[in-house]
Amino acid sequence: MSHSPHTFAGSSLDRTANTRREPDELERLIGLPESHFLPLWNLRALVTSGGEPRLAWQPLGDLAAFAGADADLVFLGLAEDGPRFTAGVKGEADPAASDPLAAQGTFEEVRPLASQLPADEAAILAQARALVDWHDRHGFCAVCGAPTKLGEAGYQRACQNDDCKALHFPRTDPVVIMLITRDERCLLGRNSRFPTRKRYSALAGFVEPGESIEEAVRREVFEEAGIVVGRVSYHSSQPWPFPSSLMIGCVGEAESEEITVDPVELQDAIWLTREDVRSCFEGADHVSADGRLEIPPPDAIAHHLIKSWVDGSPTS
Amino acid sequence: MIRSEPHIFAGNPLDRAAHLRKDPDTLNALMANPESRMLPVWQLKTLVTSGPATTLAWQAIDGLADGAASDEVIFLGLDGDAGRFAVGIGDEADPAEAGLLKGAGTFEEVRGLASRLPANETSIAAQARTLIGWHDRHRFCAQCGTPTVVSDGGYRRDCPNAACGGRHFPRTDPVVIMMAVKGDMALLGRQAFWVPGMFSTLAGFIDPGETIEEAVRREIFEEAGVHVGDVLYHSSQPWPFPSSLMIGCIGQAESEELNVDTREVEDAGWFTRDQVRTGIELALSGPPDDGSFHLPFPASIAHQLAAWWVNNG
Repeated sequence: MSHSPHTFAGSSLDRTANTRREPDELERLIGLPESHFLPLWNLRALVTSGGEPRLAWQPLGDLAAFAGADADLVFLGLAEDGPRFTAGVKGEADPAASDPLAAQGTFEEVRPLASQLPADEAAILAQARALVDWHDRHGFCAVCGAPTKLGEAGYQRACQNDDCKALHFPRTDPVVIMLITRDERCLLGRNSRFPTRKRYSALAGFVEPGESIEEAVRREVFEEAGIVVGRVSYHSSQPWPFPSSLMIGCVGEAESEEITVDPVELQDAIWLTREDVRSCFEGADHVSADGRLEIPPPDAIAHHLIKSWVDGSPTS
Repeated sequence: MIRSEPHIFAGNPLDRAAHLRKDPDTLNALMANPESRMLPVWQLKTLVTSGPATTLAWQAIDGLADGAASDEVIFLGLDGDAGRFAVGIGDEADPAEAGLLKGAGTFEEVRGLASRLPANETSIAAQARTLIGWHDRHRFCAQCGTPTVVSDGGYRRDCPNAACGGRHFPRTDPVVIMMAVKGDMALLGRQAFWVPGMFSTLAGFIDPGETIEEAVRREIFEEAGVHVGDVLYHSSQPWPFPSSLMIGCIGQAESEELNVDTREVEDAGWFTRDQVRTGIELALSGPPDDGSFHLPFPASIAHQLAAWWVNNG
């Protein structure tokens, strides 16, 4: 798709990835008065209070007071008005209650925030959250157990053990999420983590080692619902920073109809007609006119997969 | 996807039966089943039969797991009622030269086997190589540094430090690999260490917080200075070196002027459809030794993307 409708896509930053490997250029950017950073606290983002929330960028000169002198600083990219970085802290005390962040805003959870922010700010936030969380959970070398240190402007961690020196890179976990159709019906399922009992969504699962996207779609649908899938078409993709997924949206044609639900994975799976689903797109709460079915909100790719099918254009 | 036939390293014939990974009793029963088989992997090389037709050299399980230097047995899946497993062997010396596996075959690099194994066996080799390679590089908890233990039939490692409790899963790194096209021209590049004359599609890892389409546009702009608009998904391929998922795309270029980043690629340029067609033919007949322009071998998604575009794009 040329223009992704998805929340967490559409960043306005120029990542200038080559800068990550140019320490001198990075130092120069860090020294610029127009450089700013986004503070994260327990993976919540600092946003402005009062009115529509906006990312509350802080002058880079305040970094040490927020996160300490040896803080892990991640370079996000270049904005029109200067370089952008992020850094995170953990702990019980809310940093927004004291200097240098006093009166700068409040720390908010990323998921509910995403739909309130301008699209390009939500995308920057996805990048920041995924990277800060990766650093939080990779302070040690998986090869030898020694401490690691941030490198390449936040896109690498290097083992400090001279006998090992392993380099580690941020992980992005590809997930297939697929709307399965047969004739005029689509397959939706619900799992125990969904917020309401009437919520149903497209099936999804991680791509496994040694598996193509298309194979993952077929395997997951067969495992979870017992449905055999033939042709698979790609629809669109969405970054999903909880913690680091790449949602790969597909449409698959079912070659069987009888559902066998795997109770470990799903509570229920059902075939629905376009008419069953269409009214979910008419109200603000994404609940059908008869009140029996709820689909995910527009920040989720599943919403758009289902909508494309209801509107009659199942593939990109 | 545009392409209906699986790529090399895809098309796995095994039923992964993922639900059995959390069922140690069934896994143990499968290990004891005389019909079950184990694939030995040594230094990330796979045991294959010696002889005219190369196939995976599946071994009877009895005794093999005991002889392995590690307890890391991976449940690959079911073949009918029998289990299929992989085991990493830690010996310094080639176990096919002496010891338990003497005469059982030879250990060979998975990459070189790609075009010699039956197509569906390449996928099993990819699955085994990726998982064993992941265990090799993830014996310690990245959160706290404690040695971890295998669980879930080889699909998870758990941190035994009660204060941590980290759970670690195999990683799969999504990579975009794409050919930018404009009218009758395609953009290809090459690395300095490749054989002379070989050009391929550009490629790069997807960054955190990025879509497939954004990664395609960023990588082509970074490496060649070309702007891309519409992006068309073509197909995907597991690439177990060590754990990539290649996501093949065609990008519609909106500019032509090149600004090649020579730190990323040695060279990049526009080639006509006729040139690409000739380059594909040369790749099919074996790479030329005179340094003339050619594409990578047919097992690569790059070759398949170029071949699709030549005929359909």
